[in-house]
Amino acid sequence: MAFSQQFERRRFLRGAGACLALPLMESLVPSVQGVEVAARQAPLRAAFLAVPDGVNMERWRPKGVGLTYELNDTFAPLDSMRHMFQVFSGFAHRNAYAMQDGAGDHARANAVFLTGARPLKTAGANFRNGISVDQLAAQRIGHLTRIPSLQLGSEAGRSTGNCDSGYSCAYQLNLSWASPTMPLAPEPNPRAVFENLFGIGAPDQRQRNLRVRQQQRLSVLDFIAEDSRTISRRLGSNDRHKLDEYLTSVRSVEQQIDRSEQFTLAQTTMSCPDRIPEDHQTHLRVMFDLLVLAFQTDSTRLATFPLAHEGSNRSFPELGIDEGHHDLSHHKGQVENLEKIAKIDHFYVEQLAYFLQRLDAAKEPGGSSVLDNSMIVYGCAISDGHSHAHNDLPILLAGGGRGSLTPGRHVKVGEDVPMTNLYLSLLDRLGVEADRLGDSTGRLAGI
Amino acid sequence: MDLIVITPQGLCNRRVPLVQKLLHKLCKVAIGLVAVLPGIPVVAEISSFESRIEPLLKKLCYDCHGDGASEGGLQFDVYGSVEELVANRQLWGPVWDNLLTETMPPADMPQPTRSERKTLSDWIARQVFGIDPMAPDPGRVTIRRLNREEYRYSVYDLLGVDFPVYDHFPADDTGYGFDTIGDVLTVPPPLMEKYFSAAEEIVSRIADPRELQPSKKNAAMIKAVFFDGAPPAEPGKRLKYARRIIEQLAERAFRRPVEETIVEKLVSLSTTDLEEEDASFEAAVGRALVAILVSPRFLYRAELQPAPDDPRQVHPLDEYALAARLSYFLWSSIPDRQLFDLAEQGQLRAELPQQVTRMMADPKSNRFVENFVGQWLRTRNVEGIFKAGDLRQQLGHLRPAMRRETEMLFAHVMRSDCDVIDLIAADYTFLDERLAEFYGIPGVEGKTARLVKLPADSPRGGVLAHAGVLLVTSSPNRTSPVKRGRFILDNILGTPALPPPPEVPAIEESIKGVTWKMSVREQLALHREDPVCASCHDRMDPLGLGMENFDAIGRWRDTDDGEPIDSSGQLASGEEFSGIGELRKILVGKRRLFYRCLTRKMMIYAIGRGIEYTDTPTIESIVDAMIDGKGRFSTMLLAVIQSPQFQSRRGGAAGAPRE
Repeated sequence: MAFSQQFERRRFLRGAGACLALPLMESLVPSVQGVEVAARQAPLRAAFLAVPDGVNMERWRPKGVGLTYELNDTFAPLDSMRHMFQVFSGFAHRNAYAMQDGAGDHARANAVFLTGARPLKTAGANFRNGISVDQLAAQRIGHLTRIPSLQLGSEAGRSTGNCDSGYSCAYQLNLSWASPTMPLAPEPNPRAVFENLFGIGAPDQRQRNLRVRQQQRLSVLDFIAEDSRTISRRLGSNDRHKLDEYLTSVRSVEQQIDRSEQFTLAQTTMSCPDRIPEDHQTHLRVMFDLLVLAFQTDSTRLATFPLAHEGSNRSFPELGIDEGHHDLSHHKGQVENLEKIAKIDHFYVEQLAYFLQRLDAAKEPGGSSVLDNSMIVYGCAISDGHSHAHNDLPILLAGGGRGSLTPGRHVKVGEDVPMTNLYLSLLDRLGVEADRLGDSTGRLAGI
Repeated sequence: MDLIVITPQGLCNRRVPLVQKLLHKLCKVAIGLVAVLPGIPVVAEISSFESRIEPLLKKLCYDCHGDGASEGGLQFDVYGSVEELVANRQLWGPVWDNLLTETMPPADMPQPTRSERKTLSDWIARQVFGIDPMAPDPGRVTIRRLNREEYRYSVYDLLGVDFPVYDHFPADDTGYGFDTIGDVLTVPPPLMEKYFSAAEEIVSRIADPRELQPSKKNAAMIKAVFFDGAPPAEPGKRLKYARRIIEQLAERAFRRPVEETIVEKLVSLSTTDLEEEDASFEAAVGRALVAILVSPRFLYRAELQPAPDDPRQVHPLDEYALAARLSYFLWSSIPDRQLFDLAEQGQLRAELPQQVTRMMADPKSNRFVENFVGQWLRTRNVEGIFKAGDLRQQLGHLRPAMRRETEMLFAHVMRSDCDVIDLIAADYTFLDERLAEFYGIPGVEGKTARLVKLPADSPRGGVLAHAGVLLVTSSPNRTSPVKRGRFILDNILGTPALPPPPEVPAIEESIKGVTWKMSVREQLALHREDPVCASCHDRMDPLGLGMENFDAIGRWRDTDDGEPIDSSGQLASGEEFSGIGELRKILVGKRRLFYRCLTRKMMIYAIGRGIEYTDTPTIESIVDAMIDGKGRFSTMLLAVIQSPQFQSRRGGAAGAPRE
């Protein structure tokens, strides 16, 4: 099997000290300590944030185009930051539409948001989507940082029972897809994210603890890799596919150890969060704090974060909204419902503003801000929740893209332009060459 | 562990004598023999279609699905040839379902006789789906990773360590409503990292000398691992002891005997440490234990069979795999010593009914209740679902008691071997003082939930009047008759409505002219004026509207927003009712549908895949047995366990795309 050979070769290379020959990575030194980074170019990061259930488009859609456009009400929290982001109109996610597959728009909207692929309609057997933009990037540039990518989550529990209209819950609840059959679960526990970024234990022990653990893992990794190949030989092709997944992940643990030898653990003055906050806003903000630190310390350059899962029926008592978000999104054209949706949209944009402010305040050693060197996509694969429209999507792109983006504008990209065209253009900037992603038809000029 | 109180046995709605003999020779499996499935589907007998089937279709179906009529897009007489029609499984599948659940022909049309239904059903089974009753197809299952519940209990039963899985692992992906579906249980890289850190943390509790001071907390843990006490001082003996510990742990964790070479390798992971004089014995054993806990042999339930890529070959599971299927089904965990020993002696199949009885009596079967009922009736959602501010306040700390009410009813039906119809029909329930107060039922005192016989005029009884079920089938701030109706169709009657059309019809067009505030009932009535909506909402809405006397957190109410509640209605199947009591009676009368629905859910949970058309004959035979056997829980459970689907495996097609 090709994979096994690759695995063997990799182990051999490591034994031969090949990692010493790797070029000196700019991320070798965690920048939070502020040492000797000034001369280097800051790294470029990308994060993808999803909000559920569409938005009130009447309150979202900007007036006018170009630099002189007028922000709509929902953007009030971002008013003072309009030079930091651009708003897009005209994107669509074709594969979120029903076509022959009937209902299930929320499951599809989530599944396509970062993949642009057509999720196979199934409640389980043979489920299949496409690779997501963040994971495509992670596979090419993930090795440049200690952690290839982060999947953050905002919901402690998952609802039980059947998901949207005959789709497995895997489609509705996972934004990141490492392969068509490998969704990555969002991590809602800030403690787990913290420990992943900064290690476990007392601050001065963390690096040592990590080293000890990882050294001990090496011999175990050899054992289980060999053993799973033995088992695999006795399985049918379906089951073998599952064992291959396992083996791939075993290999990634090994790569993680390699990377830990290259990169020291970043340090922080933040203390380790002890639990998942009960309050939604508090939870979102602690996750954003961690993401800012992750980017600032160059622990990773890629992240996804659903601010609630697609189809979420959360109520917002703190905003005086007792109805569930999804219930409201089927607004039936009623003003009262649309007002409440706008309030929820406003709430989520407020959280985005918090994140962008933190990114802007996080300075790089060279003096620019982390936001200057980031590309933050925010939006949803549904525009109007009532009709489950998947065109004219509400999309915002924040950050300067290390000088490659032109924020401060409203851009009409055209009619029904695949959202994945934007992703291809972002991948270009990340140094990831890709000809296609999902339903992409080309690159997007003029962002 | 949050265990369910075991209730006094014996009380069911209609007293049923406690079963003594559980043996049912329902679905015989050719044990020890390789069954071969028919390679080519049985060739359609044109003559049988023309002589026997077509006349029935003409008589029963053509009013709406023939002679130019094509309701719901189905028309039988537009196919070029009989072969083409017979080969169309996508057409016949739903026809078969509707026939078996008596959803079609509709209630207001002439109905087929029992034997006509059977003729059609048998013909579809044989001629369309190529099912040979003598060689049942067990279907293909995918190797299953432990979900986080199973991981938790496996570690607990193996080592006595209760690892906090909910903090550590993300929730598992689900399919067909359950978290036991092999196809969707993946191991992405971050999860592999977590398996390592979990194993390291678990082992640190055993290998950390501070933890080894005997205490109440870790006594079970130490006994589970260091079964012969402290390690001897002499190096040779130390090594031997370590080897025995590692072999025993590996065998239990991997759920089958472990090859010598694997044991050797595990031991060698420890020996470097063991040879150092001052190294901790516990730490050395711990090294091997980490390897065991991240091994694919532990994390996956591999079921080995000859010719795994030949979809025509059916093999009975070997007894170790059978023991694991049983223990994960009923205990969400590894087999215990007795199951393992029986498998070793090849006696497990022979003793299956006794073992199942023993397993149900063990408190570990509470895990089955929590995990199966938690997902089937969604009691797992009771504690987390959003509720609007004031409702949330009124719920206070009642949620756990609400969850337990449903779990305890199920546990009771299971342990007292009641007719499973009690799950919707029970005239008793399980309450503590505060939930009883919430229900307005006097005379229940104390914090411990217990069996309470309901007053004759109480609207409670059966899961459809359980606050927890009513809670999870409501929106945050109001009831949703549609959600409740759909819940009953999906989870009680097993006759799901088609999903709504993707383009939600513009209800606002019809609402725009309306100036008064409409009740939910009026809104739904307006909605059903659109025939596209009506085809499914005629089935969902009356069910949900009949439950309107229960508010969004399950309290009884006579009015909604000042208006009296009208909970009367007529089901799509014709029956008229007024209020939850009469609605309940009608549903209880649909016993066959309920038995079938529960059987299907249990089978999905147990086997780890969705139900296929090839499973239909097995399921129908279980339903028949339930009807004959007074609906007893044990009848269903044993029949599921003795079904070919549970007892055997067939290969998948090599190289073919995953079906």
